[in-house]
Amino acid sequence: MEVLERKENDVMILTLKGRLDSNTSDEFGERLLNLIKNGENRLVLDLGDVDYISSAGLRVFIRCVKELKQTQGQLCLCSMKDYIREVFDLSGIASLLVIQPSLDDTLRSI
Amino acid sequence: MSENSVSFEVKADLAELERLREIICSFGRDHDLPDKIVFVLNLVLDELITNSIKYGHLEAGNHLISVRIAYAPEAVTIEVEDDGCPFNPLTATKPDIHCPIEERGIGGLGLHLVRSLMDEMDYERFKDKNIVRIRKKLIESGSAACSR
Repeated sequence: MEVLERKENDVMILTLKGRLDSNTSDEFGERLLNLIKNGENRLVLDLGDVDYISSAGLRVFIRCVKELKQTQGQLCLCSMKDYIREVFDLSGIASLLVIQPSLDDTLRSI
Repeated sequence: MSENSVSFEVKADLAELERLREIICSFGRDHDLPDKIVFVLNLVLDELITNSIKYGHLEAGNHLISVRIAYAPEAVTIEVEDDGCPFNPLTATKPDIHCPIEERGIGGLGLHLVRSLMDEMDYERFKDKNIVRIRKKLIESGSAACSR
């Protein structure tokens, strides 16, 4: 999986491409948690090019939301495909964070 | 093996998930399945095989997990068989997906997704093997899922 990182104002934007599964989620989760530990507490993840996510990928988001809760931080996801969104809904994670249709919508709201 | 079904074995190794993806995408192309269905089939097999490896304690030794996927116009059926410790996914603890984030655990999500996304699921322990059978009706459609 590819992850592009850029900062706009105080917002850290990560653009993901590929699959979030048992083989890629640990590394990505570590990267995300390190960003949070290093003080980033407004994070936007663009999932437009993520075409697969399993429970291993979903657990990354639960851990990050828990971590951000302690610093009053915010994690927003955007641009996800309908069937990826369905997995977030079914797992109850959609109610734990903000999900926006596009990156522009997200940057306006965060 | 009929042309409407595919049978294969995967090693009890998470690195096999990539080969699993290729087989399912090929099965989806052969039967012109909507990409959302291909995604769901890949997801449920990923979760079942990952569970077999983790909870069946298959990491040690050269265990193989057998998979059969069969297509019919009304539904796709899948059978997963392993020789791990007895593990009934139907009686596994269900996660509380509505509790506050502070109390939210991180386990149990995989089987929850399998149960939620499939239309039927049953389990049998037969001759020291776990056999899970699941069925997905072909009534929905979606968009691209097979690219990397």
